[in-house]
Amino acid sequence: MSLDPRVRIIAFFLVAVSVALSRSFSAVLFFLPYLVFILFLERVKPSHFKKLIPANLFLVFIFLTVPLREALLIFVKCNLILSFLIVLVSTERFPVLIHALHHLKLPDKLVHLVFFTYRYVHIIDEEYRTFMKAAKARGFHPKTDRITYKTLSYILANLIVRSYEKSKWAYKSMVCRGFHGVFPLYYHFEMGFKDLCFLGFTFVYVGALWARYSGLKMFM
Amino acid sequence: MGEIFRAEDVYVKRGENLVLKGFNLAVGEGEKLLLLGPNGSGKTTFFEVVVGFVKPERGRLLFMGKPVEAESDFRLLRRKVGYVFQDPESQILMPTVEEEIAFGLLNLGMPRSKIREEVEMVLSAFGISHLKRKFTHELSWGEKRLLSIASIAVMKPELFLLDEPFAGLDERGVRIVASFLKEYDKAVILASHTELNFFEDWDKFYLRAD
Ligand SMILES: Nc1ncnc2c1ncn2[C@@H]1O[C@H](COP(=O)(O)OP(=O)(O)O)[C@@H](O)[C@H]1O
Ligand SMILES: [Mg+2]
Repeated sequence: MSLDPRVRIIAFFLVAVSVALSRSFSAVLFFLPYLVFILFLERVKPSHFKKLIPANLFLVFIFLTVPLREALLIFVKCNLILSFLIVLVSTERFPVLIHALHHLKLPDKLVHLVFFTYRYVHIIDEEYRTFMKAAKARGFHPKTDRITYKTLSYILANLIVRSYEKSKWAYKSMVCRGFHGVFPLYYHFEMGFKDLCFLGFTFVYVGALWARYSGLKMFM
Repeated sequence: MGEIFRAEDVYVKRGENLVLKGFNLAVGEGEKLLLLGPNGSGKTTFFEVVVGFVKPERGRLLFMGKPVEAESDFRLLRRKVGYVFQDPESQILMPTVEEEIAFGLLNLGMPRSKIREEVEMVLSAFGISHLKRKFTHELSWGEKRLLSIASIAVMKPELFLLDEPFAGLDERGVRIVASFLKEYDKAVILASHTELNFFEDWDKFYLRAD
């Protein structure tokens, strides 16, 4: 089933904030059934969850620095929020999400910032791959020696200049084709009955949890 | 025949170098021109001047008889001037072929049902209907080239600027683009570093490198 992207963003925002503000394990774990529900609703492929691995590599450091109970809570919360991000948001295509942000009346400047960050990251990634291919095609092997570090720092510097130039052209391309501040969308979306049902369900679910943990006490 | 665009005595600096020195060019309604010159002679620079991305040191630009100076003039000009970049990869913005072609028309506020028709038409004119639903980053270089030209052609610009549109294109692609441009009923300026024998009857402007 494909949900309206605006509904996805609102639902994600609601759930993410609620999870982030929770102070007890039980409150956090009550979001699991909701996650499973969306998982079935959206038929998300398990391979999408591979994205959790790099985040968790980073989270390991929290266990080294924070008391165990706190660390565990942070660990669970982070994974839960990222999972919601995966099932609700990352399954949608990026321009569609950008367009949805417009419809949700977010300031234009913010929406453009998000779009250009996305373009920029994309460009840097592509350029990096090209540079590495070019270097390897001429016999470059990454080792832990001075030449490697020197080469990599040249590549890095070049990467910044090239991506900057390329992103300027991306902007020029938009301006040349009449861009005037709103990202147009070819495939239009409409909020249907199922979207309203889903949104209603989300509100009730989150609301019930807030009530169960007596409102703001949940956050203390 | 009315005049669409004129550049008068244009001087352009890029970095420390004077790239264009007293350049003159005029193009009339429906007129076709070739802008010829070796690499680095300022073809791309000239196109960037036309659409207002690079400001000349000196000289005058006229579009449909009116001087183009302020940013607001250029904004109006860009609605009528189509510019195909030298590098199709920096021009393509959208994730799918269909959306890429629709981008300009959506910005111009054309109704969606009309856009759908126009997209179909231009896709078939450029022989890329089978790519309609494909992701743009998965296209071959030549396919990207055709897409970048098609997504400007669909806007039916009064003045069509193309920067080395044949680079990296196979024979079939060259034939498609060349015949499209020959039949295009509005003004065209095509920049190339090689002489193009299939445009023999087009007027030629030469840029020198030094
Ligand atoms: N962004 C830039 N900064 C400085 N110099 C530039 C820039 N772009 C182009 N040039 C210089 O301007 C000259 C003309 O370049 P260009 O217009 O790209 O030529 P062509 O398109 O005919 O190959 C070249 O010498 C080039 O090095
Ligand atoms: Mg050039």
